[in-house]
Amino acid sequence: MEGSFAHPSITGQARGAEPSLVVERVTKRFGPFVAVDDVSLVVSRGEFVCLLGPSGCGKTTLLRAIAGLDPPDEGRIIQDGRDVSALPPSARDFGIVFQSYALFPNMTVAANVGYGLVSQRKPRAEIDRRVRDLLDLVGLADQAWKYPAQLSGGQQQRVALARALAMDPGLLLLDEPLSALDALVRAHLRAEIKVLQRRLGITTIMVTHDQEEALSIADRVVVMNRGRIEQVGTPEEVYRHPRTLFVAGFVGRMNSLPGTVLDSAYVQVGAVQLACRAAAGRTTGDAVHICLRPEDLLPATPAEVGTRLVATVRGVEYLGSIARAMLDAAGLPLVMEVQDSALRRLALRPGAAIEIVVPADRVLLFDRTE
Amino acid sequence: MAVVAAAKVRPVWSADDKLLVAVVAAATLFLAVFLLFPLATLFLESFRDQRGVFVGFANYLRYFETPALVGSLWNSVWTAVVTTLIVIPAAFVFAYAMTRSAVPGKALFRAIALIPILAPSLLPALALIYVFGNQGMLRNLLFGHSIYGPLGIVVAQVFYTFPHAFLILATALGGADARLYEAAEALRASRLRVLRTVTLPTARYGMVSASFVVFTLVLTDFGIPKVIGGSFPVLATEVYKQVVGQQNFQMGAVVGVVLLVPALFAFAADQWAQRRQVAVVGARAVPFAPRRRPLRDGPLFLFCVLVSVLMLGLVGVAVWGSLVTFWPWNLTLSLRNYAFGTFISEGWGTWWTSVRLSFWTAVIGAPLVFVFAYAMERTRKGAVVASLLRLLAIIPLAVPGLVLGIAYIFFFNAPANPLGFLYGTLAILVLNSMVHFYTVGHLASLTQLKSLDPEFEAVSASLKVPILHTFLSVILPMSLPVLLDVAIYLFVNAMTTVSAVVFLYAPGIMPASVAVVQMDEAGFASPAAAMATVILLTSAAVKGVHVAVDNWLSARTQAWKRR
Repeated sequence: MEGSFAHPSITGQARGAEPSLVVERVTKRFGPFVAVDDVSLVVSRGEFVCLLGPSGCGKTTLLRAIAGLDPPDEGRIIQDGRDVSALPPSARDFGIVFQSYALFPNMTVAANVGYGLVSQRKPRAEIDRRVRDLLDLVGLADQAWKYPAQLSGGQQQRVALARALAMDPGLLLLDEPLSALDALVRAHLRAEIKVLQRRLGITTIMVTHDQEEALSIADRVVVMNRGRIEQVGTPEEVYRHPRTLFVAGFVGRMNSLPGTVLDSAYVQVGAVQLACRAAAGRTTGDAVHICLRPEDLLPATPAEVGTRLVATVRGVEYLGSIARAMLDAAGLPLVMEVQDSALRRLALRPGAAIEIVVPADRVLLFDRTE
Repeated sequence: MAVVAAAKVRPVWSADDKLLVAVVAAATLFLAVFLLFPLATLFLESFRDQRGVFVGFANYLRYFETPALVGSLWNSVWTAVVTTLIVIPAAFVFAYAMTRSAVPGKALFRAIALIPILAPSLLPALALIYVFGNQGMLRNLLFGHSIYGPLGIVVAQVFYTFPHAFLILATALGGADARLYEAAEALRASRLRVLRTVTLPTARYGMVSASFVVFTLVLTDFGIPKVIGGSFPVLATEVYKQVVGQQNFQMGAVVGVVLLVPALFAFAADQWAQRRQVAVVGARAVPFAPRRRPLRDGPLFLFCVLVSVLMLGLVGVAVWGSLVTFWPWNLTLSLRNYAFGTFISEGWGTWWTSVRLSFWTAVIGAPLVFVFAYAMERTRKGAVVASLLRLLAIIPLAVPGLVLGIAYIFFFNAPANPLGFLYGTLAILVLNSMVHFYTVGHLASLTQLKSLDPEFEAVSASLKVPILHTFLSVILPMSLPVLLDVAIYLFVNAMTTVSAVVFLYAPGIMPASVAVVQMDEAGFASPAAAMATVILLTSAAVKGVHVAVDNWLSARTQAWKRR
């Protein structure tokens, strides 16, 4: 069945060759509002890229510019070496899945999937075979004669995916495709989309505001804010080495406190001096934001190296496998994340005292400008 | 790969873009030629004398110096206000009973309340004359007052405008959020307080809207004051007298403009009210299901019975009167009054003219309105023209039929107009009706289109399917019920309207509604009632067919709605 698809897995092999998509200094305005502001991005063949950001950050606008639905005002979009910037959607080469799925309610699942094929006047048998293959691919072969309203949300989403793949597009665009689903189905479909994408090797760009979704599914994450790209990187890079305060705060949870650089190894925050690798190369007296991941705060054991702080537990938010403890650490309000097992062992409850360690290599610094 | 400056993008138009812009342009041209230009001509004519010389405000000065004309303006305004003050509370209680109570027989009450919409406005006036007129059997009940004049006008207008107010108020009250009532109950608010703080605020803008609609309907209605107004002059009859009676077109233009002003005000206020109404019920509202409460439902039921009896009584009297041989001396039943040929030269032909007029208005108008609405809603290019078109499309609602009628005379009867060949044909009646009733169909189409996923076209484009194909295979099938609604609305209105067509008909194409006016004017009141009854029956029959077709359609083509 794989043979029927024009995109055999070429991941890895073609990387670094001609990029699948080049976005070059794209700007899109709506009246005085600049939705996308001078954005550039290169997407490799077969790559899965997530556009991540809060609502209004321009991620959907960028996707729609790539699709040609809202053509950009300035810049170039080059797909497979062809400048498509000015072309209408129908002259470009992409498949798209919307948050609403936009399935045609008056057509069966099979008719929806075959919608584009029929108008290309392909032979009936060929269309039928192709539709059957696509429905097999998304696991809905037995639902072909149902109407969209008779399917569950997850099934509708798969139909939309099959329809987007029907024309063998070189680029798959997903606009918040999972947002309308409940949490369990979402996690399941997320994995399925990833497997499918790998199998077909199709270059994919997905828009999402859910950072967990972006981290779990993407080869590379593009974090956007206020129409600009804040950082592009693998999920690990974006999470562990956020380049800006915005990325640090938006991707994952973060303790963020104002402080100043003391010397090349220490920062001052409140009454506390924290050992900090990132201080190297900064000037003494620099105003900075000090950022700490909740899971990087560790209950003190003799083996741990770093700044030791005595803290009082103010409250505990229990989340099942993990728990968050709200701490008052020498006057600093900090949130610490511990495993459920650690929670039991440490007997953390409001009022309890605990010693914690802040590893020097996990302290992140960002410029603080007033 | 370094770029010096970001290049400006000049988007290429796809075939879809070209098609949509072409349709938008066609729609703009249509409304410009058949709405804007005639109105502009009317406006210009009001500043000219009979020979076409510009005279500034001379015509207006003459208007305001003629006591009879100014008096008619005042008469129009106060009868409209009085009618509104009576109709709105009554329609509110009725709508409240239909939406917020557990009164039995709602479907029947609702159907009865809507009957006046199916008949020309003259029907209640003719019925009132049967009962309270010079030969009326109950005229003594008026204690010497005459039904001919403001009294008759107001009573007839109340009947005629009741369903319009009821429909708006029922919609406003229908969108109740049960959660608000549950919250009020949980906070132990008294019933009266709930009515004051929850029910009335949700319906407030509906009431504003309904008030303005009723006011405008009365102000611009021609049929009722013509039949029952006697020597009591109002704007609508005055403009008819000036144009048709005295051939004083310039003064007709002035009265037309004067008539347009309050209508435009009412229209602007209504738009304002409607914009406020939107926010009242959120998308996540839980529908309100009224529970039985005898103390509330009992009086409401009696009120509904009273309204229904009056409605049926009035219509019944008109129908009965039309069947009586010679009112009120010979009450034996006969179909004498239905032999229209003996009273008016075109006879039953007028009915056939009306049917043809209504048919073409519906069959051409509904698809046209829908396609135009689709193009202006979905076009990605020509935004300026599209927004101008959106404005044009709602203007007809504010333009009284009489004004549109006179405007058509000025515009299409002008010797220089290449479209002059339309004048005096059925085509101009059809075009006039399509434009006159354009807005409601337009708004219904817009509501339908907004309920469709805006990404259908985007998906189609990504699948390289032309927009025409998607329109025909997705948009149109899903919108058929709405299209049918619009067609029926156009049919019924073209069937019953008098105000615009009364200026435009020509020998051989007199519509039945105009025939009612003509026969009544000639002293043939019973044949007039008979013709009004025929119009009512025709509209009712079409409405019945509509319901049947709608059911069949939802069974056949809307299968996808079933889960």
